[in-house]
Amino acid sequence: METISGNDILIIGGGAAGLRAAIEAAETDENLKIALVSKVYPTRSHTVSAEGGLAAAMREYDSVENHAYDTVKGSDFLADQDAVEYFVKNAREEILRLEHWGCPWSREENGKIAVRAFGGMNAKRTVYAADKTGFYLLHSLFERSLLYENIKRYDEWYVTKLLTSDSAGKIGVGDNSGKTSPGDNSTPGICGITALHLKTGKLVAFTAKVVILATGGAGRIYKFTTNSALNTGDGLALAYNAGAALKDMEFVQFHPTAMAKTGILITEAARGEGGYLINKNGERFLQKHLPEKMELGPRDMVSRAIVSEIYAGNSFEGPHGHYVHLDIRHLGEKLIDEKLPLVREIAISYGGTDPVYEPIAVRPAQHYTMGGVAVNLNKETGIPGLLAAGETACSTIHGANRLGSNSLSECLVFGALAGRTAAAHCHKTHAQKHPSADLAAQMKDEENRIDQHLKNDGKESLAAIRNEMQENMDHHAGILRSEKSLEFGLNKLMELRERVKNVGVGDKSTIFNTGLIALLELEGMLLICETIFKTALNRTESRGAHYRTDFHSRDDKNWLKHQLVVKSEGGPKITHQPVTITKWLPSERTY
Amino acid sequence: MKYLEQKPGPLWWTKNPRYFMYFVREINGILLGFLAFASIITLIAVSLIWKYALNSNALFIGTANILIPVLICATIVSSIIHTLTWLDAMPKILPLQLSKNRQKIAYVILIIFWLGLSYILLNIFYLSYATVV
Amino acid sequence: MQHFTLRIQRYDPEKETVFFEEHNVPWTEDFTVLDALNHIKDKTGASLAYRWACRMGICGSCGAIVNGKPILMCSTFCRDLKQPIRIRPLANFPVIKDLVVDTDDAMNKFREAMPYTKIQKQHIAPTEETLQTPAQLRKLKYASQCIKCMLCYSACPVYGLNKDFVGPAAGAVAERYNKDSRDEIKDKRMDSMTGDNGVYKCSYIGECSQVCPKSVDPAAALQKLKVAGIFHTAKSIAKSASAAISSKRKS
Repeated sequence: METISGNDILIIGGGAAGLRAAIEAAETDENLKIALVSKVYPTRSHTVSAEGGLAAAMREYDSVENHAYDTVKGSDFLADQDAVEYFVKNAREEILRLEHWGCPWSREENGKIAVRAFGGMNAKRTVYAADKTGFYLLHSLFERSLLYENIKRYDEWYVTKLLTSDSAGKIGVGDNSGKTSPGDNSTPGICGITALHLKTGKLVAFTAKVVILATGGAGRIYKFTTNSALNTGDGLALAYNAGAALKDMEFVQFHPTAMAKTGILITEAARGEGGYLINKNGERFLQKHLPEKMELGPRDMVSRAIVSEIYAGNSFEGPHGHYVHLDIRHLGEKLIDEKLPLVREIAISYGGTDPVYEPIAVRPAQHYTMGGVAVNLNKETGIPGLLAAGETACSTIHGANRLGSNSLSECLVFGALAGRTAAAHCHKTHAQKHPSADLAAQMKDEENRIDQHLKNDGKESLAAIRNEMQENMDHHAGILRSEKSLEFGLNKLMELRERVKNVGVGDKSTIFNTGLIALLELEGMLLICETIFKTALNRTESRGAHYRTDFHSRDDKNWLKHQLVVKSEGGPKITHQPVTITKWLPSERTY
Repeated sequence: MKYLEQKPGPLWWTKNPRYFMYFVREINGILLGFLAFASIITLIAVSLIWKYALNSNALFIGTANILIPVLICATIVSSIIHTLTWLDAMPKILPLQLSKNRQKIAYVILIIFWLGLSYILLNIFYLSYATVV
Repeated sequence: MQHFTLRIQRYDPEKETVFFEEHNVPWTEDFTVLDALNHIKDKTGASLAYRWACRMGICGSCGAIVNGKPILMCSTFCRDLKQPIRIRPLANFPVIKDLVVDTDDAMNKFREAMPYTKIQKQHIAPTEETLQTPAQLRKLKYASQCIKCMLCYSACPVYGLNKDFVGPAAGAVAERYNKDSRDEIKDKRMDSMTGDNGVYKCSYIGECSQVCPKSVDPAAALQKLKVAGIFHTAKSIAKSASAAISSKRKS
């Protein structure tokens, strides 16, 4: 197998976090060789679909303490407050830096960057670029990354495995963390990856001193999701298989307003600008559930409110299930064209209704995975040489529920931090003399594994298994959960994990073999589903986005802690980690 | 293992009406140059022959040969096509951001302006020709 | 109408053969071409290769030529298309497999447009934003919408015949940065864009603006760059002339 060596930092994933990490590392030291490996061109990454905005304490009437408190309260007090404090302190600078790099933030008349209201935030602090913030942000980062000669992009390479080595980067575990992590000094470190070059069909190994995972979330384990086809949790599966811990996997966010058929996101900004959620009887039903914040409540509560309206029989019924109306007619055509043009475009193209004249049919869809690879303050995982940032990582600043517009800021702040940490590692780590036998054996194993997948002539249909997995997650690990539904879902999942071993990939060539890639992604997704079921069953309380009909209330006495899962012989093994509290003790969460 | 190369064939301009209009515009530009040159040379040559060789003061030399009116008409038609197709590109060059409708309006305004200018120029030319000859 | 018929041009890179496949998909009111392809792939387990991601017309992955027109498959509805629906990969690019083309060359053209406002690479820690009024921001409105979907490169015969031509999307990005009030490197960018194989190779065919799914109007951007290029070249000549004269005076 060919090996590409000489890279210092290898970043997997080309979205906001990955590109930001690459730029930060490139700026820190122009002699560092940075490889950005992505399974698609970076501008196709799911960041591009983000619409609403990114949050920071921008104005004098706002403060970082306010932003931090809103975030901690929004997380239902599960957020690690030291990470939150770092995040809120650096968010504004990141936005200004992007502005200096040319990102076209929307402005107020006086020329300053504009801010708008968003769910769960007590002050206007969401910076936006029309309603295509993710698009402008990602393209600005991508275009800026073209400036640095030391960033080399490997577009359309699918990473299949992380390579470990005993002598790799012992420095890193336990440094600056102060947090307990499952790895200790005897954990083998990451020294590279194997990746499939889609264009040529070749499996190639890369060696590097540090690997940063920035592959996004795992929304495609659900059927009704706002996520793109790319969000298959590749980074989560890679980390899990390499022995890293996944944290808070049971917390999955459902966005209240996704279009009823396709799941395409209608941004929270529509409600931020003043939109209403109306049920069948024409009432703004959030009056009953969230009397103070109404449509600008946190996403988990608004989604549950919509679901309870559906159960109470107050929703509309259509060919694609039950839905409610999002009404922005009263905002006027001028405001919609100026601040929500994409919403109008999407509603007309995919829904057939013009939101200037008719309300939009919406219902909750899976949107974000709060869970991810466990990282310390510096974005280091428990494994030496492996970092993670963005939605892939669980820092955690979102805890049990993420506030809208915190994710894009997080990608920038923690992506930059991961880049800096990686650059620092490279200076400390000297060129490794990897025992070549060890690495060669791993590469041969991986080659054989991929070969086996191709040779498999099994009769199971990949699409059928994927579909069943997605429907299973929708029905049994959705907005409302119970022990019965979770047990049932877990059993079904284990059956699917057996069946996937008999999937035959029709295409035998490796050149752009989308069937092979889909199978590798599916195997990863099934692993992630298992961790979600196990941790959701374990947590016998309701907190944030994890709502149990058999345990309705929050139990701070027993459950103010995180759940970490690691791979072991008997399946996922769960351990606990206390929540870091610096300032705010848990209190009642009302809006 | 080989990729499939794709290149536009020599008849790429027949594939859709806009490509064809591009082709017409470009060929017409070359044709117009040729026709205008030919017309001027012919008119000068025939006037000189008419005046000095045939000793006639007649103004209208159009009847000398059927080819002359044909040549003149072809030049006029070609220059009209040239004007219309190239004025179409003008709204795009202006340092203004115009929507498709505004571009059409700008196009019409430019045509009217060009007609006015042509009328004035023709009158000047005719008057000077009349006084000289 | 009981079903949609799709006629797909496929290519096998190992056997190096082009062949056509016809599939029927049950008639569904709001099926896009992408939905139909996914349906075919899931039901028949076909090895058909195509790119897609966001399914909402913002990522630019799913470009293809359908019934002779380059479009985004996720934004085109089957009910609006004449049957049989003929699908083939984007033109002017080498085909890797089926509907997947190699767009690396065109993606690299963006480097020539120098798509950044500053070339200082040092780490900055700004405390204030550069002011920019909404009127100044509106100047970027159209050219900044480019999703890099490559439909314009597929439509441009100049790029098809000469792969070194900088191309419409790169022209649109260059224009977007030229018009940005915060831009500091307009001169360098104009040097890059007015070189050989730069904007002057554009013949104003205009098909790029016709096919652009986001109304970026790259043809207008390229023509404006040509005009700006004239002024830029004149200015550079004047500058170097005056520099030559003043250095001659000194010696």
